[in-house]
Amino acid sequence: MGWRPGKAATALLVVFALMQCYQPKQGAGATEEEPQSIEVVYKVPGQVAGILERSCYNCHSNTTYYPWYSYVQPVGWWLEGHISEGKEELNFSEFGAYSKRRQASKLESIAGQVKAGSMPPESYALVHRDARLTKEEVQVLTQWMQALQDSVSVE
Amino acid sequence: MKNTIYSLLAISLLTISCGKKENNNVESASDGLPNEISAAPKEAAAAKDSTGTADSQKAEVNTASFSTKGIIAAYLKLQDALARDDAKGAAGAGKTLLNEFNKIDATMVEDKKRADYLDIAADAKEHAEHISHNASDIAHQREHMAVLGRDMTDLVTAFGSETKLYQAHCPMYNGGKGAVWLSAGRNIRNPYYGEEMLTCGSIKKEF
Repeated sequence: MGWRPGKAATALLVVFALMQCYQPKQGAGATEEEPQSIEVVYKVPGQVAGILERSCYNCHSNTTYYPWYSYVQPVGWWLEGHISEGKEELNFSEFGAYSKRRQASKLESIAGQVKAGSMPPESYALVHRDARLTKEEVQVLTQWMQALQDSVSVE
Repeated sequence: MKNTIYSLLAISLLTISCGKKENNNVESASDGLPNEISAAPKEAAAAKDSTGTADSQKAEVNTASFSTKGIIAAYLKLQDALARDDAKGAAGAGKTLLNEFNKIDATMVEDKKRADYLDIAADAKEHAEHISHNASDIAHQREHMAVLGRDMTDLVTAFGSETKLYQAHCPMYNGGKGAVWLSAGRNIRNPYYGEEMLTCGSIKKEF
């Protein structure tokens, strides 16, 4: 009996099970009404709204869709870290609360990142294949962002 | 073997019970009130805070006054690093710039202009931070530099500069949208293209 591989495996399983007890708080800041959402404070055409919802909102809004594996730790901890970081940088649900200067600045950064292909990030798009943007979608999105930026800057 | 089976059973029970607890949490979190204040209102609150303490501190600080000197010096270092295509140097200067902004006590800014200052500073700090975090991506640093150029222009327009400054303009950057930067001299050293087009641009304004 001396050497029992089962023991180590059981210990690992116990640790894994205990990890499940620490579930990070998901969807922080989410409310039914989002008065400061970009779609409330600005007119967002349907196609653009669709792109935002599909490719951006999971990390950049308060309406994150949490897949089943986000409840499995430590994956969920890792995801939540990324999401809160993403929302700190840019939160479309709070867009109206930014000053005009910061709105214009965010829009410029978004357009730059999307054009350069660094948003949505490759690591994210690898799992969420539907988040990928086609060339036309990049154009539609960045053109709209730039037009909005110009109108914000003029105000 | 039996033991292993028992422990597996115990573990799965534990996992299931944990999972259940977590579900309840999620429900209450999603239909509850907002439990996290976003970055923007936080800053606004901070601004309000500093306004509130202004009176109590005025007595101590009225000898010192708000100066853009440190900010401008750090910005000029950043501008120089990017013109030399030195992404690492730019990252270092970005960090210095962020520190210079953090050193400023907003209560020293005159009341009427404080909101303006805080708005410019919040934006500029964000760009300085991004530049400092992207020592291996000069193109990305330059994108932030372009927006920072507008913030710095507004800062100097509103609060002045102790040293002579020029605003230069590069018409080509950002797909022909153009971008401005501040420079200590009249000679053009383009931070958006560096060696590639170092002397592209023209002086638009003097401060």
